[in-house]
Amino acid sequence: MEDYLKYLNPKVLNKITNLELKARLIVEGYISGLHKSPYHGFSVEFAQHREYVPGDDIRHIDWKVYGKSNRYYIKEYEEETNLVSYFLLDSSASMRYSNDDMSKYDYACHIVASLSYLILQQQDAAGLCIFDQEIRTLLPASSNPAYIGDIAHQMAQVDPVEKTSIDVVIKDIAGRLKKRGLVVIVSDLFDDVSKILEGIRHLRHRRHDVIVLHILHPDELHFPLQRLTMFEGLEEIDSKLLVNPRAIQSAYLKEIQNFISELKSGCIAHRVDYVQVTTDQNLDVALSAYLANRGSRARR
Amino acid sequence: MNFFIQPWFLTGLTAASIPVIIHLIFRRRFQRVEWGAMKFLLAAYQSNKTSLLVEHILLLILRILIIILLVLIFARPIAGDIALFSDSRSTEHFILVVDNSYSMGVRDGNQSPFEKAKKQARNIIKNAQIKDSITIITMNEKPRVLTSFATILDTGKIIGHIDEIKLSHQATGLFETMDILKEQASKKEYLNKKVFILTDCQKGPWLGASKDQSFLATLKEIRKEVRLFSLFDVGVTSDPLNLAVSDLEADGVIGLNTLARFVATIQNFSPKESGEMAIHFYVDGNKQSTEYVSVLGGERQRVAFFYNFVATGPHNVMVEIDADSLAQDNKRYLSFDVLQNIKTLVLDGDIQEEAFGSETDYITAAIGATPKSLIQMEVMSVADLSSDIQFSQYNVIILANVQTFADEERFLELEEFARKGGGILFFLGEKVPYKYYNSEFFKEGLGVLPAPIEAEAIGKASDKEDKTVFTFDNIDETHPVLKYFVENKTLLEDFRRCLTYKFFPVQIDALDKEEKRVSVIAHYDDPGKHPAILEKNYERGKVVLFTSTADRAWNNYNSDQFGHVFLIMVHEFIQYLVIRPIHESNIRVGLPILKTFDFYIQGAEIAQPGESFSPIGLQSNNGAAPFRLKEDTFVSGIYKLNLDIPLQVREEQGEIASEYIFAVNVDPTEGDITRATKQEILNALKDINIHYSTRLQKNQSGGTSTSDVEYWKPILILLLILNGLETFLAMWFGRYDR
Repeated sequence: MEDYLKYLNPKVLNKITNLELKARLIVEGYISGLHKSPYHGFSVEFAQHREYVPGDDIRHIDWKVYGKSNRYYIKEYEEETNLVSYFLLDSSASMRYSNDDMSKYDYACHIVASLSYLILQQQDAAGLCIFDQEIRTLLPASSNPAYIGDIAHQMAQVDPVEKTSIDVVIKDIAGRLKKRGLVVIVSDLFDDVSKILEGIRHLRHRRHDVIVLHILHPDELHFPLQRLTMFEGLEEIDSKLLVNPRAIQSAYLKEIQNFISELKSGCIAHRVDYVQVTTDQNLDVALSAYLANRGSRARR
Repeated sequence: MNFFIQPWFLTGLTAASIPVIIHLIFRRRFQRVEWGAMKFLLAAYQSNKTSLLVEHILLLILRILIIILLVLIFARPIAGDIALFSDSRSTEHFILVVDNSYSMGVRDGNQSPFEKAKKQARNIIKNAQIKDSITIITMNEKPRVLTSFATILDTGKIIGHIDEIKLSHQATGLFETMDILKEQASKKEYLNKKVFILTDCQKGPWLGASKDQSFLATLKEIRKEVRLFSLFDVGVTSDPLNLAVSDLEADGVIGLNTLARFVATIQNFSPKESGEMAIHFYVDGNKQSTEYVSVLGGERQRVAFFYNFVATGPHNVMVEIDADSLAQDNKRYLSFDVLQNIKTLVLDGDIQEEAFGSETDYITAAIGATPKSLIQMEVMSVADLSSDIQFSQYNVIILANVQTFADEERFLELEEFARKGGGILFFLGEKVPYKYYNSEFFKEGLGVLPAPIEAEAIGKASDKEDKTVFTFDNIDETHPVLKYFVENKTLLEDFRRCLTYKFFPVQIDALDKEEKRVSVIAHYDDPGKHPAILEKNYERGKVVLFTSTADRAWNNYNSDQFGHVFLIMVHEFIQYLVIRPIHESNIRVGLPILKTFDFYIQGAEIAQPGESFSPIGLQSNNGAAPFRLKEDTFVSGIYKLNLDIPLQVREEQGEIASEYIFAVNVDPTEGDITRATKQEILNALKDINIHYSTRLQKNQSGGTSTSDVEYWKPILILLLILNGLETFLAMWFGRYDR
């Protein structure tokens, strides 16, 4: 039996070029590692009865109610088959950062592909929005399992070069998402916290569930650089700084921790799941976050 | 001139630019990183921009300082006081006082203090500027100014003066040297004078002199005149073994064919025991015997040698210790004359028929002369003194209870006798008319009598029932005439217990007392504490006055109980009177040999130790007597003098010597090389504001020397502190990995 678990490791995944294949390996690897199938409970949670109208699948008629009332009632379940997940994938230039390893963008693509694969396998719908300072690509939600190919293809087409403007994009996308669903923001969120939270608040106002997958490179979290370095901004083209990293390390770490802390607090305040993911972590972190959120939705 | 021993290392100061260069190079060698979280990086940089700059500059300064200090250590800066200042300073005048007393020659390793002192002097000269001047003074009992404010046009020439300084055989001579130094230092035309005394800081001379107010006053006056008064202690730091022959003496008069006894005192100046040391005894340059002694640290030991002389005339003996760390005090010489006998004329003023009735009977009994005796005497009544008897035929004349001379010329003859070296011993008695004695023998101090007699005799004669008794009191135990008693406590006690019943009260003339021409050997214990035995140096002769009688009339010295006291006194007094004053033929190095001859001398030649005879000039009164000889002594040893006396003069003068021997010895106290500590010196000279330092010559290769006046130690400590600070700050500022 193939050891799928290894495909959760970004180092392994980095060697596989086919994103679709990788998504399958990731998900199946993850699933095989669980003791309990995540499929259980899905689509079987009773929600309400409604009267049968022609065209409804007779397999969903509640015959017990018919026995008592002599009426046809369709047994409706929680919107499990109607769950729409939208992935907002940040393709700004800052997502390009890597240190001879997987870039944040690539890592984010793996997450999106894997979750999309999982969602589509569940007959749920998945949509994709790739953005930077504006929406670059928008794939409407679809539950067609073959849709994963489109998602993967679109993600592969993008070259992260532009700046981020999350609040603008979120407001824009919020207007376009007609159906309430799960919005998964996959980004490094290198923008003003207030603007980000403003966008999230907007999504929440539209009653969307939101998961923030905060993608960071370990270098950005720990700042382990030693040698004198000319830092060139990926998004700020003219921004350069020649500095001894050791001299500024503590100040930098303080800044980024403040940012994360502020962001996290904001997310909690808006009842948004915040998950910090670093590119050296196994992909199960992101999958677990999604499934946890999915589970809580099912119980509501 | 500069502050540094190795100034060429200062070129290394250019290395101070290394941190800046490294900084600039490293600013060109950086990695480029495309950074996503630039926002936070810029925010962190902006908020810490100033502190980063300060930290950076601080570290840069520290690193530059570390390199500068490192270079300074190699360049070896010298203490400001002797750094002699920078090239831009004004003209300075260096007065170098180089101690060349013989203690400076002690060997403790490869380099003696003397060599260290010369090396330091050379360093000072080498570091001087061409506009400066150098004065060089040698320090000993006869200090010399080798150069006085000589400009340094030719450094080699000035250094040549230092090279020429030889180790003397003299003692430190602090008083003499400071007088010379004061003379040089007080030359007003030279400003900016700096004095450097390079010495071994011997405890004895320095602490001894510092107790003398005149010495301190001299130093204060020097201090006022000079900008820097520096004392360099170059003495040995260990305690090398040093023994000295501190004394060599003969036991009384040395007679022909009698066993003479010589006693050498061996002193151990070091704190440790000497172990067995060989002591060699030489007579007239020939080794006679060797004794072995071991002397405890700080102690002294007396060693006796014996010899039987078979020829009269001048002789010398020498005692030598085997080599130790200081050679100059290992030998001691003694010069003396071997006499065939001591011709003594005993003049009796009260001749009696019955046995022991005469005044001089006890004296003759005490001398007890046989034809082989050293003392040969002739006894006569003063009344029988015929004209064919000349005092000059005798060595000693004893006057016992003599009233007067029949011939008044005898008074003058007696004075002439003493003036030429004869010895006179006075005993008084009932016959003595005191006022007459004062006028004829004392002569207001011009006569031979040591002191005027104040009044008639005090007390009552020994045959009186109600006689008062007096004993000797306040005895001068250091006087050589009492040496025999002092060396035997029982005899000294007997001497004290002898009773005197009657004596003439005498009082020493104030002038004689002041000029120390007269000394009291013993007093009586009477209320007036009158002198009992007095001595007067009468030119070359000696006169001893005993204020009581020579027989039993006024005392009991001749009693059965104390007869031995009188016996010893007579022998010792006679011998003492004929012994040439020790200082005439035995002198200390540095003092001149002085001799006066009252007869015509054709010429003279002198041989210094280890050298052959060479002619010597004599001062005379236009070619007529007296002839005076003065020869300076610089080294210890035996000096020999030969006189060329015409035959006719020999015939006229009778027995006159043409050969003389002088023993010249070092001051044995100089051999005590114990150093005064820094604190002792500074305490002793606390009012002088003297700069004290020690020199520790570690580099014996002739290169530059190290010294505790160098600044390398504090610089090294500062360097280490800065290095630690740099590491700490760099870590604190995050420049190093933690």
